[in-house]
Amino acid sequence: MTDQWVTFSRFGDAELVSLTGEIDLANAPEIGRAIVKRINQAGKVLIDLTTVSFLDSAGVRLLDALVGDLYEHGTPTRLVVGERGAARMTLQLCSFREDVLATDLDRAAADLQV
Amino acid sequence: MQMPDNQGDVPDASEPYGYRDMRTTQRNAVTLTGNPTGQPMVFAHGYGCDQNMWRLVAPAFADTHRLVLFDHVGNGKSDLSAYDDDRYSTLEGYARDILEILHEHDLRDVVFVGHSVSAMIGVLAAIEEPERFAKLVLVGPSPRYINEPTEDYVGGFDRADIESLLDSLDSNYLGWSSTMAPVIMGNPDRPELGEELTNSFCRTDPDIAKKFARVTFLSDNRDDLLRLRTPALILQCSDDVIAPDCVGDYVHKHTPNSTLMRLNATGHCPNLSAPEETIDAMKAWL
Amino acid sequence: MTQELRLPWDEDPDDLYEHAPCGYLTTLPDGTIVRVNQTFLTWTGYTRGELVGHRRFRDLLSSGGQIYHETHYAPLLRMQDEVHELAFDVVCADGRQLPTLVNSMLGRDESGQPRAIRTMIFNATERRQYEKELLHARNIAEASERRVRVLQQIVADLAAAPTEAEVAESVVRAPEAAFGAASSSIYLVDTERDLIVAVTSTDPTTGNWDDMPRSSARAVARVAERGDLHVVASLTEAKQHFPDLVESMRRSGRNTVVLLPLTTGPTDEHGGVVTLGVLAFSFKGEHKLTDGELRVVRLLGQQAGQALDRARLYDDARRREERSKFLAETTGALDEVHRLQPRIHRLLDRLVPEVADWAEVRLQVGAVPIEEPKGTPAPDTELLMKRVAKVAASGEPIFALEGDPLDCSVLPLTARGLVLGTLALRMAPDRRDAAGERVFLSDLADRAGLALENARLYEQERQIARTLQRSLLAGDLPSGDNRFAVETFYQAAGQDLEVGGDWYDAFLITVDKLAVVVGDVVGRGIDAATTMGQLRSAVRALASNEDGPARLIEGLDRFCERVESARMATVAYAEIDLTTGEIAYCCAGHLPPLLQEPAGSPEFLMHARSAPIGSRAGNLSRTEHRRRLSAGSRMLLYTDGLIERRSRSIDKGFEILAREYARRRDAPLQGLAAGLADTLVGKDHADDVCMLCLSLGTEERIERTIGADRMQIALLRADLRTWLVAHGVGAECRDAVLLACSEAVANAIEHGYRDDPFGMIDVVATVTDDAVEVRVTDRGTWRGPLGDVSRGRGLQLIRESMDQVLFDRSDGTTVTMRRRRGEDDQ
Repeated sequence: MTDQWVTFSRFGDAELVSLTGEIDLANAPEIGRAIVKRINQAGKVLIDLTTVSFLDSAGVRLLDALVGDLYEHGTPTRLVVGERGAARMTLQLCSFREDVLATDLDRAAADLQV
Repeated sequence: MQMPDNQGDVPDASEPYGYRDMRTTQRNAVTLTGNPTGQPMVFAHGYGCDQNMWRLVAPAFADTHRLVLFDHVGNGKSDLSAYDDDRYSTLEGYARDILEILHEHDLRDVVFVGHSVSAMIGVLAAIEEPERFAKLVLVGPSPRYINEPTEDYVGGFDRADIESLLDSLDSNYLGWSSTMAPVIMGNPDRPELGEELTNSFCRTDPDIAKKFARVTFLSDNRDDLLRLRTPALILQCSDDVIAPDCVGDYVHKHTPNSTLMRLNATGHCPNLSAPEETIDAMKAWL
Repeated sequence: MTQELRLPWDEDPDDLYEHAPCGYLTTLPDGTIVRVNQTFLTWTGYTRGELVGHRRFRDLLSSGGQIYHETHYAPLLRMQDEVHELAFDVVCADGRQLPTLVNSMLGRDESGQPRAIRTMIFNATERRQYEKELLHARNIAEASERRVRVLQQIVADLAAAPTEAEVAESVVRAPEAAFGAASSSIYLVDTERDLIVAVTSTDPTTGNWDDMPRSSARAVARVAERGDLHVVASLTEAKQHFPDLVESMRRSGRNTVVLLPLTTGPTDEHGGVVTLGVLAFSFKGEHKLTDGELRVVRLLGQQAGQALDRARLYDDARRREERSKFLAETTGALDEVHRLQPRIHRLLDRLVPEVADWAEVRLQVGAVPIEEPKGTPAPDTELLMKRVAKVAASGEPIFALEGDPLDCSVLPLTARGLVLGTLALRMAPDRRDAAGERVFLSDLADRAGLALENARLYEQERQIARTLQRSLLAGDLPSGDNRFAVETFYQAAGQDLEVGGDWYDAFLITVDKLAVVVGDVVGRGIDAATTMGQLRSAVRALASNEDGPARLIEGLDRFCERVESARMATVAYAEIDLTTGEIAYCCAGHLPPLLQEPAGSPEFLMHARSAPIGSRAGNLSRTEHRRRLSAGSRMLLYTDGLIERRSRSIDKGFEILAREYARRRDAPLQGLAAGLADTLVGKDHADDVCMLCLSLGTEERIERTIGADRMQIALLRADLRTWLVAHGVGAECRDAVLLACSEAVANAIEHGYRDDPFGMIDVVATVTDDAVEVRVTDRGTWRGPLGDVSRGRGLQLIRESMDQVLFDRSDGTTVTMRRRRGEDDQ
């Protein structure tokens, strides 16, 4: 069960994936499977990491793979990570692509409309 | 063969081999004659008679063979009390008797000569313990007496014929019936019925005769022929209503390693009607 | 020497041969007819030309005769040269069979070879007729003997037949064996329903199998009424007296029917005779029964009647016994489960299929109506609902009667004068007679009603107790204070057990004084839960900054005077001064707290022990014990469910607890209690388990050992996070240290222990005024370059997030990481 870490909803015309809590080696693969199952038909995807309290390299690996696949399929995607926090720190330390990061949901959604 | 725990097992001068076996010897009135060192030759009589029917044939082999003759239970001098409905409800029961005789007298490499139904009994015994049998001589064999039209098999009889035979037995055994005896004895008009009967050979208990007739004429051993591995000689008489030519052909065709010889002798009992021809045929093949 | 009497005329030998009073045949040894006399030709209708040279004697015989000829006649003749008085049927020219007796002689030539057979044939028509009569007489004699044997056998069978069915089975076979009947049937009289019922037959295709009223005009009923044997000797007789028999007699080709009442009572006078059943048997063709046979038939009727009577009494007694046994067992079975739903299922399992092939319990009380059916097929819903409504309204049962379209009995389930619902049943085929089982069913419904009501109340109470307990234990425990941390654990006993009275609590008396308590109230269920709540509140109310644990327990002793149910509750209570680290505790009959200081072995706190709360006989002088605990100490309070097992002594329990606790001295606090419960108790536990683990003060240096299990990384992180917070390490630095530490541990798991799931990883963290240092050590073997793609990112993260990173691969792998504290530090 991954419900405690990931929930799905719609935000405008985008599929919203909300992650929360600690994402690490122990739960990242399971979370990844849950997300892929859900978004493989989505037109646009928003991944909200603002309430993620911990993100390790396994989490980064997961996000990297997700974003890579979505871009390959031409699916517009944004990661929402807030101004500060554990998730932003990890992503920045890994030099994650800045162009897919956004600081809040509205801005991210607006990005995708362009 | 020593049977140390058998109290009746004492040397007996009247027996050529010094032993009187208490079981099969008495049960089947086994007689052992001929050449004690010769190859054993076991003669089995057919339905309706007893070991006497071999008296014209067996002596011809006395010099060369150890001759074993016996009566099926219920016939001749056999022990009537040994008759068991269950055991003798199939030909296998009779075949077991033969195997027991072979065991008790430690007979091996046996030439088995079976007449009529005993031909099939011998076949069953040889299938069961092939190692004991060297050769089978089947005189007038039939694996199935009743016609099976659906299988294109001609055995020579219908079921009604067998019922008619049983009636015929009733008529002929009337005076012999043990259960009837008191009634007859109490009848002053027919005193002769109580006397010794003249047809002294081939005496048969009437009840057993009827049961044996049923087993004989209602058995179907066609499938067993194929399982026989012992070489077999089929002696087929001319004009035999009990085992017609076509039955002999059938037996020959379905028995591996078999030889068919047609005799000029007519009827069902060449061992009585044409003993010389029968002996010659047997010797030639053996 | 007597002189031969001279005949008045010359006897011609040829004429004598031709017209002798017997048939003569001369045949060749193979049977071919060569000479035949006129007498034989006259008898048989053949011409001489047809026989001589063309036919054999054998050919003239019936087929059975031919076989007999070949198997008997021919061999005999050969062996003894003559045969006498053999019976043959000669088939005449017109197909008629002529019974004959045959004598033959075999003639031989000089060399002894068979030459010819001379046969004399006597017309034996008369004799054979006579013999047939003899045979017939023999058959009769044998039949009589057989009848007696059959009767003896039946009497023996009947003596051993304990049930009506077995009696019927024995009797029904008698007429065929004894009298040669074609078929027979048994009818039994059912006085309760005033019916006559056919129960068994050797040929159910004959006769009329419908049940009939005892007053019916049918033959069976009439004979049962009269109680005397009746022979319907012919169809004509049947037409006159019992027209109902005519049709079935015609159909099955029967011409004689015997109707024998099976009676009991005095046989000499008719007045006292009771008919229990009728044996009907019939014959193909008209069959005259002899007086002897009729005597045997009557005897059979009496014997069977007596056996039936015996079987009925026996059946009755046995059924009564079975019913009461069933009821007792049902009550017992229901008592074994306490909850409502399982109890309903238990009840239905008992009923279907043993008693009913379909049954349903409906309960109308409670929030949600319950409807539990079992068995097939379900009856018509509409009819059932009507009957259920009627029974629920009236509280009176309705039993299925003969021909009831619904075929279901519905009984009210009542308890304490209240209709709770209904029990509906369609009886199993062998107990169709619901009306006959009224008493049994009513008794059953009464017991079921009470049992279900009790289960319902239990269920209600259990629900309330659980809710109450959950709400009490769910209360907020103090947290967020870096001077202490509290971990609690509660596991209810195995299913279907009532809620227990264990509880834990932790609260701040003042900002600097923490109170922790674990207690256990006597008993289970709602009372225990309520008392637990009251005691919990009492402890909170009594706790004060000044009094201390001993005074508080004394307060609880007084509390028992008003709340009797709290008496004999056990309590372990401790107050901790968060500024000094001093602890004061008191154990009222409770198991001793288990203390683990950072250095040293675990230690049970055995001071300040006294009797349970409100104990009348125990030591009520309450004392308290004080000691100072070093930072990093952990204290465990627990209830007996943790260590008491039926299979081991309590000393052993303490020993195991201490060992397991020590083994986890470096494990993260979070998950510690659950881990202990898992090891000591497992999932299958008969008692509630309640634990509270207090971790005190902030260690200067945190040392943790975790297994090579990725699930444990989060637990370690939680501990480390608390520790960092406690030391005032700022968020940015904290996150970076947590990230680096997690990655280092992940590396150890994924590389060092890739082949060893049981490897252990040591984590040591120290904090100084200006830096945090973490050391992660594993003893595994790292294979290959560190820089593979996935783990490479981990290493990169460690390097990026920490200021200094040092790898030491001399004994396993030790990663030492250091980061300066930031400006947001406190």
